[in-house]
Amino acid sequence: MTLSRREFLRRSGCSALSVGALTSGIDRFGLVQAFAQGNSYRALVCIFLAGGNDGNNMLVPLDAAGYAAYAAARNAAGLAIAQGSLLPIKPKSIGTEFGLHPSLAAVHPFFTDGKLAIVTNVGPLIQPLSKQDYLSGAPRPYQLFSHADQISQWQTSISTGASGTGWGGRVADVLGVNPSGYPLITALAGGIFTRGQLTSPLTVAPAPTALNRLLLLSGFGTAADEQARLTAMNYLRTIGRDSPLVAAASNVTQQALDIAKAFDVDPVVNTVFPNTTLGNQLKQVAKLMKFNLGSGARALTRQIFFCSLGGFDTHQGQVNTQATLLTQVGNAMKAFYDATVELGIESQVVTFTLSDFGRTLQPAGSAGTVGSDHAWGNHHLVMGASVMGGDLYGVSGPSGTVFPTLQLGGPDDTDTRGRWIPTTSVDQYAATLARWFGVDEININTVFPQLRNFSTRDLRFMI
Amino acid sequence: MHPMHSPKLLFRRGVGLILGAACITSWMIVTSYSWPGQLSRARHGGRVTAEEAARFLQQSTWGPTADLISHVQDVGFRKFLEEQFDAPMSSYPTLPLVPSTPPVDCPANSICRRDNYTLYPVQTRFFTNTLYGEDQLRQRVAFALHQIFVVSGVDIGQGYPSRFTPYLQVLDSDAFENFRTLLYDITLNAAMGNYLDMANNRKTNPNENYAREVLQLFSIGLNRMQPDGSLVRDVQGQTFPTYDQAVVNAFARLFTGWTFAPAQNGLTNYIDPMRVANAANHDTGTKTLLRGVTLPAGQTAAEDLDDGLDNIFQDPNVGPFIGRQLIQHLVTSNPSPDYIKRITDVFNDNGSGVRGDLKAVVKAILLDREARAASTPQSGHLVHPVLLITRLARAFNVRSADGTGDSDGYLNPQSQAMGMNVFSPPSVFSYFSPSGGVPGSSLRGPEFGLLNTSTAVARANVVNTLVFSRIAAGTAYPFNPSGTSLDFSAFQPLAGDPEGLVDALNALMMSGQMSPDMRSAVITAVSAVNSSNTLKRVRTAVYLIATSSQYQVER
Repeated sequence: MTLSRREFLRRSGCSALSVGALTSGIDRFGLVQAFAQGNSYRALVCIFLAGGNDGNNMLVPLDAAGYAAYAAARNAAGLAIAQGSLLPIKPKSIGTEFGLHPSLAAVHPFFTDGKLAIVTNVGPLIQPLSKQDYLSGAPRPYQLFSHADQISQWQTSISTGASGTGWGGRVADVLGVNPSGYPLITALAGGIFTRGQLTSPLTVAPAPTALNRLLLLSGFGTAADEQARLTAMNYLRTIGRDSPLVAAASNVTQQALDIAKAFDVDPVVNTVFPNTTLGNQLKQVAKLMKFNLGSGARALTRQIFFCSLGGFDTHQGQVNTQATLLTQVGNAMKAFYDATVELGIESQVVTFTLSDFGRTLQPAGSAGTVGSDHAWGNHHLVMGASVMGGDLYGVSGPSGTVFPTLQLGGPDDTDTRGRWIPTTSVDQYAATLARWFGVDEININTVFPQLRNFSTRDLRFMI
Repeated sequence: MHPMHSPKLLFRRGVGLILGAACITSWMIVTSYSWPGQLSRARHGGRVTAEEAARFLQQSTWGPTADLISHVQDVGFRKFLEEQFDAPMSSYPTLPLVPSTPPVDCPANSICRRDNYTLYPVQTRFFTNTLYGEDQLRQRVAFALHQIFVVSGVDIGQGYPSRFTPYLQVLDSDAFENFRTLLYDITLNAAMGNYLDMANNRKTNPNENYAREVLQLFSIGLNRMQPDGSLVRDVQGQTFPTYDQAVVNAFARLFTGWTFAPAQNGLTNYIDPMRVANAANHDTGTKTLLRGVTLPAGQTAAEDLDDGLDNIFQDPNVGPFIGRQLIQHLVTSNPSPDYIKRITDVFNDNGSGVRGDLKAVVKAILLDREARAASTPQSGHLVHPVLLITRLARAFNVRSADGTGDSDGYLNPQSQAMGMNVFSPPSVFSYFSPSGGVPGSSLRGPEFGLLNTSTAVARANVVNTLVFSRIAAGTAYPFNPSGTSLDFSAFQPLAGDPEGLVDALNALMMSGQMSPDMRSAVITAVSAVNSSNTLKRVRTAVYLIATSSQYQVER
């Protein structure tokens, strides 16, 4: 994965951007034909649930024994969801019933319709890790239970230490850098997920900002003196580059101004989105997709989007906070799916969640302020018409299924608080998505260097 | 709020600087020293040059002004720092506590709602402190400390000014105190107690949040460091974690038993430090802390807290961990190991045997030879959005929209457009990561975490608003009573001489570090403006400088 600095500069679009784009200009996306040819359009849409979503309350066993184990850990402190209010689902490959958090009502039907899958007890790993391995000190991810590091590991799929690139960025790297400077990756929110060795994301504001109002420089009229000022401003970005900081800052501005020229219309998506943080991000994603699809032969055939919703770090006050947030997630995902139907690409787009970590099954505090603490393995949603929905996915663990044993100090617990040792790695989850997206087997190993440590290379939740 | 400088004085000083600076800059160009090494050669008989003073003020204030440049030239760096240490504190008022739910007589969009349930009064006070306060260095350091000891208004209930200003008071009052004092005061601050869940943390299911973050973010970081900030490694290159989960568990138990001070009129007390209301809520078991230090069983919550904070404070990582971040905030993103080591040494011993003397640390950072030497291609840091605003505003006599009074300080919308919502970072990991990199480079550049295609354009557009227009009063009632404008009148007399104008702006805005090719490009653009339009000539020059990466990377 590591390129020398020289190699990076040689291969990077940045060096070309900094000077070349100034003089060349770009028309629309200015894509080379090779880029537009080949497979039809596909898109990955990542929703990051920042803070660490409590998967233990997002997916709960509904069978008598399973619910009793869950309630035993959470009911007394006031953190258990009542059995009757959970939204029932029947995973195809498991004999027992489960329940979704009641606030996910908007996406509940998608599970039954086979368009929503859940990957269970997934998390950062370096290699498969049993409880015995864990207790005997086998290699485990760097700085478990720490927000910044675990966010990084979910977004980079590197668990042995800090990584300067995210797995979204590396997927974009191997699919090729667009010579126009219009990146495959668009960020609606910040995160290392989108940064590659060669790729840096287009960062845009969410809806309601119109696409043709994005990234516009204000204050320049046609008067000669204002055009002279613009000429000087453009020139200043090409000098002073002996300072890497100055050069990097100029590159970002240059990229923005080049792309702004391409956004000449503001396409209309008719699907109504909720006016929420995530709703507005996903609405902008839908509009960017429509814009791209309308770009004819120059349209990108692959796009990656990164969205984020914060507030999931529910050490306290979890009951209301998580309900509010999951309502927002479910409603926004439903609207976004409807928009992909409107655009006719529902089979070509997959939406999936990532999050810092799961949370302790054992509550923190009690009653009105009850919450939960940082943990590890977690459950995640994958949605789209190409998803083999209606089931739970992952690698089976000590329970004999892909779902962990909800027992404090039990076979999946790192200690006594209910922190699940993942049976499925982020690498396996991400590689399954990347393979569907079009990354071949050779490049999969480059993008996900830890994948070779796991025998299951594809979780089979994508068609 | 703090009308420190009369406009007349600024004007007079401004002209004095302009003439002197033009002279010096011309001399430097004529002798064609390779810039920027020329700065150190520009001394006259030991007196600090205007450019040196401006650069020092870039690092120690919210932006050089003409009169402060003259003043630093008059008194020198050390005396200026002593004045700053003793300057009256701007700080923030203690406000009456309010109910969690706004009462009916405090409706949306009312002044009542604005002042009691939004961060408006705190953010505007912050900006007026930075623009007009005498205690520039204290405000600058306190804001750096806020970015280390994060409490965010994003969290429900923190955005209430009455809950937030006591937290900022701690940062202001402890900015030049001992680090141990700061650590204690911030640990027991009620907003922090709420934000990281130390408030009401009890021995049954103790909460790990504060325990983890106080170690990882507020004091020692994740890995053992050398005094020069580099990581300690074994022969295989492996690093050494500073703590493990067992230590976090021990600190989680150590921090049990604390709750809010007695309620005032039934309202949760965010004003006074937290206290122990019920000793039974504290876990009195034995605890093994950092470096294997063990606390005996049976200690009170207060005894455990003192011993636990001492255990953290005495850790050898604190000096390089905190020192590097303060250097990054004030001077450069990439201090040399030797620079960090020199600051660690001062943290460990201020020369009088005292550990953790923040005043001595700040002084050492700003007077260090690496901070004062000529800049190199690797030195400096990208200014964050707040600093971009304040540097520009202070350079040009920032006023209310109509120019008759002070700015109302309602500048957070501009900062937010550039990615920095003041006092509302997204998480305890602050606005950007101190270890963040410069894209396409192996250098660190924390502030680049806020720079992307969207915010890069926003930077130019905020500059456009401030330079070519103003932030009008009253358009966002009740949030901008008087608005903000810049005053370029001191520079208009120079507009007939584009070279002289650009040289004067170079001295004030870029501490004389503008390259010859940048200078000529700006002069060309200025000359394209009709000479009768003196205001537009000045604005053209200021816009080009302020939007340039050469200016936004402060070196």
